[in-house]
Amino acid sequence: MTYEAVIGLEIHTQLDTKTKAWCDCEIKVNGFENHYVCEICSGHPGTLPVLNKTSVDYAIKLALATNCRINHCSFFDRKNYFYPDLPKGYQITQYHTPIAEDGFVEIENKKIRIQRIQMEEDTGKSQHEGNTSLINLNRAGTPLLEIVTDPDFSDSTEAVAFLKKLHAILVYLGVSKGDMQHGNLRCDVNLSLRKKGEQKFGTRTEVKNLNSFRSVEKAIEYEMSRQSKILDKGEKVLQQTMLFDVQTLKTRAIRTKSDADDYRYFVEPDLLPLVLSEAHIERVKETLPELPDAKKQRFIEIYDIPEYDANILCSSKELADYFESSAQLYDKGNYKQLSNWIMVELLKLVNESQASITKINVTATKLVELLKLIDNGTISGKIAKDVLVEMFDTNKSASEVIEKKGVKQNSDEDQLRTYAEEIIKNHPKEVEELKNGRDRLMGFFVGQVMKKTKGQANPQMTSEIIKKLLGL
Amino acid sequence: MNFKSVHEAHFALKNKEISSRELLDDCIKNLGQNENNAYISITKDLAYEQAKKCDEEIQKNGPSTFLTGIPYTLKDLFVTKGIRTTAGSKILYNYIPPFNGYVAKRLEEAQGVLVGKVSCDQFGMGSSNEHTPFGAVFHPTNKDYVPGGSSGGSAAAVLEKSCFYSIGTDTGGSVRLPSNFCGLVGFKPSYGRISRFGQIAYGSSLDQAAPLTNSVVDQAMIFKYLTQNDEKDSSQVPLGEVDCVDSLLNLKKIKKHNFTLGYSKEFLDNCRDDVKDQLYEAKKFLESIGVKFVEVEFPHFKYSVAVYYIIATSEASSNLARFDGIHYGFSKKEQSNLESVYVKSRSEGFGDEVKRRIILGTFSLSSGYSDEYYNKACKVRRLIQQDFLNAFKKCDGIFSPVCATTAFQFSEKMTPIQMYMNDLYTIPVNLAGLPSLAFPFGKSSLNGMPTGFQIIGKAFEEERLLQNSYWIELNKS
Amino acid sequence: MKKINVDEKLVKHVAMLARIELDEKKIAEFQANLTDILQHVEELNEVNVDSVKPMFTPLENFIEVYKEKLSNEFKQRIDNVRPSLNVKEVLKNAPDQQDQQFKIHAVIEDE
Repeated sequence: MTYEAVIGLEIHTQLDTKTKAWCDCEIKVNGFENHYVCEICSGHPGTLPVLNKTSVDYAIKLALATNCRINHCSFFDRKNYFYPDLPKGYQITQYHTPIAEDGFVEIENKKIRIQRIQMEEDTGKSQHEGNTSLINLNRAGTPLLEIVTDPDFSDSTEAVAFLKKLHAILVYLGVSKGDMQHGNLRCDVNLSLRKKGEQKFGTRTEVKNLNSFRSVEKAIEYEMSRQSKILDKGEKVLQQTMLFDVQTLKTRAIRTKSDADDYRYFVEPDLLPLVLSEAHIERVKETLPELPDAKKQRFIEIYDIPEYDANILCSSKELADYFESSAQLYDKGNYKQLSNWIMVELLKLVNESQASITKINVTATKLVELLKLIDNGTISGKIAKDVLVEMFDTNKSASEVIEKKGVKQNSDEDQLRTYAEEIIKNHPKEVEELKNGRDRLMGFFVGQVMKKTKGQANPQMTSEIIKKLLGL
Repeated sequence: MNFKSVHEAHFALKNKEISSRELLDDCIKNLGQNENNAYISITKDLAYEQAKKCDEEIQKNGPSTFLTGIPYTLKDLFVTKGIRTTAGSKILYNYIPPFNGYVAKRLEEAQGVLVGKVSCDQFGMGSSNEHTPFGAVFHPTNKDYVPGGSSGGSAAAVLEKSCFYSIGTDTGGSVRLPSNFCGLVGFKPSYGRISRFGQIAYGSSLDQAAPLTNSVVDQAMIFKYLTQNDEKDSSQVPLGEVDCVDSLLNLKKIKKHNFTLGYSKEFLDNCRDDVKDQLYEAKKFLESIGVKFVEVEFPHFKYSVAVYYIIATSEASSNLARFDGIHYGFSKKEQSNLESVYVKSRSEGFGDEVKRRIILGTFSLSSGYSDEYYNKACKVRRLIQQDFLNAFKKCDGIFSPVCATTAFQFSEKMTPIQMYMNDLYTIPVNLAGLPSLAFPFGKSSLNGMPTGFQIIGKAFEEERLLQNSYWIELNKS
Repeated sequence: MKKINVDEKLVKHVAMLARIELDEKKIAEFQANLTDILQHVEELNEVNVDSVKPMFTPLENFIEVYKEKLSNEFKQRIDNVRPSLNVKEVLKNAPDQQDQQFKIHAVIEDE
């Protein structure tokens, strides 16, 4: 039986503001436990929330970047439930009228509709040790945006593509750090199956708290498989909340949705309605940076690099900025070469060292200097790779490394000819074979000259010299 | 010492006729052994320290504020840093706040002398100050009678003269009612005037700090220090300090001051005879000093109690969820699992009236009922406010009873709903967010207990309301 | 408004939502109280609220009047860090603590 999956996502992203949603505490989720807590975020009696201005602007930015309609008047609501990491006994969120609705994000072949973007707050953290739990409220009150999509996804590929795009948008906007490992971005998946072509929705399950693209991918695949097996047997899928085990790659139920979750939403009386003027929204619009899609297009057009390259370079704002800074210094240079060097050689070093590209020794200026030295023949491309490694590790400039290591390319025609002649003299058999068509032996001769020059012979020049000497 | 008002004390201090220390000595003497149960915590040492500093200051430069050196108390719903704050409840019996609330801070800065934290019905829920494990508060004039609630401790402390004024809270009449029962002036400003930061929340869209005093001028003096903008309360309308003391005192010089009061004959006639008589006496008196009366209608008045109890208890059920035995306060932590800790701590920590209101509020908000109850109540609330706004087209203020009866005896048993009816005339004011001043006038022919009326003013026009009230006070004496 | 039958089951359910336990006597008492109060509340049925929007704060009508002096942004915080409480003060009133954290019985469900 073929089924089609109907999948929707709920994404929670922590906003990269300096202070929490309702108070002036610094956001330092991984700081010493309970060192970033005040009477407000720990829910002491008599305390009141006051909205963080920047969090509003961040919400507006995301709404604009995802083509949402911004509600000029939205409300905050209380979601009431008891849990130890929720000190007030309620979470302040936006239930009835959120700040933005009805947007979309385009992925490969599809438009994914964004149902709503709502502002809310994060809870504290609990740590379990046998019979006890320990509660740390550093995270309590961190501002969050919840992004809810319509159930427009049909498989894991689409879901992951969307998430990656949303992630890039969030980081580009500067609205979120996007560090999924540290919980900046969490995703819940709602999934149901139905027979192909059917209109009615099947029973859906919810898989909560996925914090990597891979988890989302595998969780969806597993759920699809699990549910279709149940339906094949003619049984019913239970409406459940699940967690995903990253070791076993399986989902497991934690509780059945029941009437027990009556959140008794009502408008938060301690906060005024959030009123946004057109002028305010315009002001925020003006501060929007170029988004990933637009930047990609521009790179392709202006720098004449292939889409594949543009995709990789624009996958992170820092990387794109690095490329662009370099390109501007490289002015009219070979941008494809620049792209290759960044995508392959530099990224390799960056990933190995786990550093951020904004903090490495090889600045855009230094990289461009290296490329220019290749261009003008001072060193060979091969040597340049080693030079780059040295630059990366020691913070020296290209010239300094080349000088110190003495790896300047040898473009002394006379000297090279002398070496070439010597080698040709000593290898008559190979000369014969080369003349007879074994073109690959060119490499052997060039290689021998390289050996004599400790790898510094200008390879093109050497090759030309040898060809001339042999009359090829 | 034979004066009891803030302004008399202030001028006596200014003229060096008396010291802050002496004022405090008298207050402590009147406090005695706390026989009226007005106090939950007595901060004697702190008070004497503060009085000493004030006297030094007064010696050098005279009192720097109207409140310098004058003993006062705070209802135990106001958070005071380092000083136990119980909300009148077992669930906070041992709570020492790590921060200072707005009201506490402002009065400390105004150099007041804090005698103690006074009793109240738990979390402000009650009309008699009986609902507290710290002991019911007695009416200082007659121990068989309740002082009113929920700010009964405040009223008793002022009436027994162990302080010159007290700051209470008024959510549905909790300052105006005990003021009325004890013959004091109780003034509730507009909702959103005084910051609620540090005021333990009961009904968030209804609560407001409200002082109890012996005179209207005192209210103006205190009002000045409580009206600063506070960035910590989003629901406070930041209109800045209101200093209307001079504009009040200037009334002494003028011969005429006109204003029009709206009233509902039905309201007056529905009061118990002794109260009704005094209300009509008051009306006659006001007319004799130039006040005009017009009849106004409140078509939705009768729904006020229902609307209030749905909204207030709904908000309260959520506000009190933070009392869970985990982060602070009374805890049955020795239970075997987390759910039990929640349930046992809350069940043992909260009194019956609090539980009753939490249950009513939880019900009103719960799925399947919230539209019928909570949302409907919010709609009718708008209509009740509209009634006032319509009435104000014809008058400057509304003349109304505070309560259909007077202070009652402990022995008079009432059902919860009968108790709630005590607030019938005070509740609509909180629903509409308006300011109101309870003014003492006369005594009951039935039991000798104080009677009085309230004047309800237009939103954020407290200065006008205080002026009009002071005009009445001037002419009465 | 539908006529509510306040039975024991309803009282118990609501009490559970509020994490309050009531003994049999109290349940009966609260059942009676609630019935009493709700009967009074039923009078709200008489009011036609078809075209009335709910009012969540009495300030709604008054903020209009003071709009020039106020803007919604006034009561929003600038994003500047101010000192938090000292961790000792955070935990001062905690019924139980360990390793500078609030200590409680294990939460039953995992998350």
